[in-house]
Amino acid sequence: MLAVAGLFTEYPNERGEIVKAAQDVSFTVAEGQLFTLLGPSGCGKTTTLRSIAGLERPRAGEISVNGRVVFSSARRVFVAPNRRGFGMVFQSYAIWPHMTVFENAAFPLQVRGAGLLTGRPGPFGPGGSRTRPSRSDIRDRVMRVLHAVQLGELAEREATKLSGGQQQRLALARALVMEPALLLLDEPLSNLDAKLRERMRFELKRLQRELKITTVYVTHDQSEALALSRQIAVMNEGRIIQIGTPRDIYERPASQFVADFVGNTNFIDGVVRVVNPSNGVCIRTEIGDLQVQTDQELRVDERVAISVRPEDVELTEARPPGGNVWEGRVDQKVFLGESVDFQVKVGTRTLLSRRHPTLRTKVGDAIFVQLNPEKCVVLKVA
Amino acid sequence: MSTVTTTTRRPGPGGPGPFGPGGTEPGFAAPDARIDVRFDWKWVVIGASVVFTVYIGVIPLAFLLWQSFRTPQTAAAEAVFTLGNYAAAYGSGDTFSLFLTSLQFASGTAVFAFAIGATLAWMNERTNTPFKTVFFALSLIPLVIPSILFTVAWIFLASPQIGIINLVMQGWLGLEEPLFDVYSLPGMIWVDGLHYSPMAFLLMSAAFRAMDPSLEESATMSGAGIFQVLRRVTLRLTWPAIAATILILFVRSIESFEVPALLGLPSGIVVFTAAIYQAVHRYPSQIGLASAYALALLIITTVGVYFVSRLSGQGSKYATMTGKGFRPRLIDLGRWRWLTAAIFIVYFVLIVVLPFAVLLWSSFQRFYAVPSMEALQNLTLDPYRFILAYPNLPRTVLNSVMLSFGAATVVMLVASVICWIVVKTKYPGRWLLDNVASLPIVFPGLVLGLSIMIFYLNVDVGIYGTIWIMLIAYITRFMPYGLRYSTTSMVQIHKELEESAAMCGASWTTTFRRVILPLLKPGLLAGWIYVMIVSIRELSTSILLYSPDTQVISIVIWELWENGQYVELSALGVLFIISLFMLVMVAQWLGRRYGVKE
Repeated sequence: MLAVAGLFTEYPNERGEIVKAAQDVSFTVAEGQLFTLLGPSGCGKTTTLRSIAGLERPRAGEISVNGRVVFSSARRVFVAPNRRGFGMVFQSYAIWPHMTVFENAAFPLQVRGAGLLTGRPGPFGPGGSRTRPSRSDIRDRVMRVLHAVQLGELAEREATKLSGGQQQRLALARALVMEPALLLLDEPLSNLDAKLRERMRFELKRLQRELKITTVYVTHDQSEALALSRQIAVMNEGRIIQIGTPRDIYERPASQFVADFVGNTNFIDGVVRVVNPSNGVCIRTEIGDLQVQTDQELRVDERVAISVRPEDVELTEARPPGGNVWEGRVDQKVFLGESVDFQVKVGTRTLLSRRHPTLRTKVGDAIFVQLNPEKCVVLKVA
Repeated sequence: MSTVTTTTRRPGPGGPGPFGPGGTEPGFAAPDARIDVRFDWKWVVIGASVVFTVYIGVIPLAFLLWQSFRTPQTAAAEAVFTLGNYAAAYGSGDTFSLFLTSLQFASGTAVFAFAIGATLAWMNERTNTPFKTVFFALSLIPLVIPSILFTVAWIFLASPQIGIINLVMQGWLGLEEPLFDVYSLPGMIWVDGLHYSPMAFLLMSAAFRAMDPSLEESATMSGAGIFQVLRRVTLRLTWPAIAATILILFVRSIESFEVPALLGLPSGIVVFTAAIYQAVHRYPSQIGLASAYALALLIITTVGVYFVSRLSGQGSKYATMTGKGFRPRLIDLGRWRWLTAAIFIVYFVLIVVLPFAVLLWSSFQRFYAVPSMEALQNLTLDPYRFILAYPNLPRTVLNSVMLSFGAATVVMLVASVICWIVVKTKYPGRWLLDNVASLPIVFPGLVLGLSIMIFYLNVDVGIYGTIWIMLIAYITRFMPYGLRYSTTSMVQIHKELEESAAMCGASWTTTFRRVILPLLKPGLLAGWIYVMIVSIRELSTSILLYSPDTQVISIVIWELWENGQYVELSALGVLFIISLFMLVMVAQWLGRRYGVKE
């Protein structure tokens, strides 16, 4: 469906230095899926999205949607953004303040010119049409899409009188009304408060599933990415570090950067001591020898980092049976409602563990730490 | 990238405006228009605007330079190349004093006007001074009083011989000598500074209003007092606006013509504009000499513009326009607020009440006389009868109105395209375009009129002596101001508002017409009103370009002054001010109706 290959996008900043925003970015998104570009600010994810939109002109690479090339440096193709027929929701929503809700949502249909070929049939209209729809047709389709985002009642209201969540839904409606081949979302939830963000997350997922619309989503919020996506590409410094399903990314991070950026984790540095294909790997770490299960090819004496998620650091007040057990001391704890975060000191190391609030060990008390060999992810240290 | 920046514009009054969408208009292109047809329109609009801007921006400068190397053309001798103008202009020691006087006059005026305007703006925007909404409305009134009438009024008020203030004060205090002398450098600074102070007030009000009040509030929360906040946060953040304001005031005063001509020349205080006027009015006209003087002016103003553009470049990091919490907490002045209210009142009296009252008084006299019981007996309507019977009066009024409407409309439309290119695109050379379009700001009106006159005398396209040459002159002269207005609005339009239109499939022309222009509307309308008012008062350019058929109102006032017809001048002035005032009221009403805020 969407194929991005070898994309390089660079632009000069205010001081005239070249910012290498996207470097050799390649990925594909299958029809109807939601694909997320995840990374810290300045990692190139928004630039990548804007390159797909046509708002930035990449230096090199190729972008095609349904086999239609919209950008190719080799073939000198650059389709203007207004002819790509993609829907986009901007971070600021970009709701036009001089128009009503209805006028905002109707705009794409009113200005639709020739050359928009990528529209697909959908619940709001036939799609794929070359001609501008009639006035009553526009009215029908806009009202249908406004009802779909629960703004039907507010159609005649001034766009500036909407709340943040409503503006966000209007931006979505405006992007959806033209039955885009591709939906691009640039941090659409980042300007909402936490509660609303959570609700919109479900809403967005429901709409995307129902409409089966291929979507590229940009965010710096890992929980948003994990909750929404079929696939995630984690980016850093302009490059894609890892592409995978949310579970892959979370449970099998490919690098320290990914493990650290997606969720919380404990890093334990160590050196490989014994490699035993049946029995796992033994690693000497700062807290002692650690047994881990891994498919990775490891050499003896290789330096590695072990990543363990806080929820995988088991704590018991009595010494549990089995290996990978250390005695520690509760250094600090933070009550979070549905869970409690424990900082446990093992030797000189502090490990973070997220437990159910039923565990009520006091600060300063002894506690036993156990690590499941299968939950320990071995990361090679560059 | 992931920083949260929201640029939500404040909700303005809605309704379809002159450019706005009234429901579902047909799109720009026919449904089956081909790509290249629509693509062309963008470049046609941009190309036409750029060519026009370059044409009006460069022609006067080129001619000024060319003329400064020519001898005067007379019936006997052809104009030839010479360096004599420069020798005459800069060879004598007089030039140095001319230079010094000009700088003293312009910087004195700029600083005086700025001090008044900034203080009033701060009091109005940031303090709880009582009745300030009334003051804001009142402070716009002086904008409609043409400079020549304001100057004449202050001659009536403060001249050593007939000045009412002087006579009254002498009577009260028993002085031998008059208290004020308007025919002096301080007098000139006083009159011109007062006259430009509303401009400073408006510019600084906008700057204070554009500032995110939470920046000040966080300083207050950090324990800073009123004056610390003012000095360490407010003034620092508005610094680019302050520099820009002072520069504009400086340029306006160094090229102001009425005050130096009416007050400076009689007392021998000659600044550049007056020197240029004298050179043109000699026989034979020393146009080359005038051009040589003008180049010194150009250099001064160009240096100033350059420094401010540097400052404004730094200022962009203070881009503080955010949509959130736009209700600044007002500083409670306590009892001092009555003092600030009193300052407003005194200011209003000095700038509107006294000048208008003295004109009104004199307009009911047969011959100019200082107010007295005896003069009160001699009130008459003769000056009004004279003015209403003035030959060609309807034609003159029509010319003024048509010129100001035409100039304002063309200026704002072209300026909106130019500032879009400069602000929103990354086209190479766009800074050059900005500079070319802003170039006329360095031209004194007199010199601009002169170079346009010579150009169309030499390059005959049939518009010399018609109203078109004056329209071109007005457009050239006020393009930089129109550009400032639209640029201020343009930088506030978040680029995503435009990008989202492109993503919706809108072509450039559609986006420009349906998104950019409506969002610019407040700035465009404010600029339009401004250009219209300054055009209708314009004197120094028109004075070299008018013909009997294309006389405008300000020219008639000038002629009456030259003829010594003071009471008739007063009558025309009173009528002119009242009509301008009503025009502004209508414009403001239109503005409120169509979305100019405040």
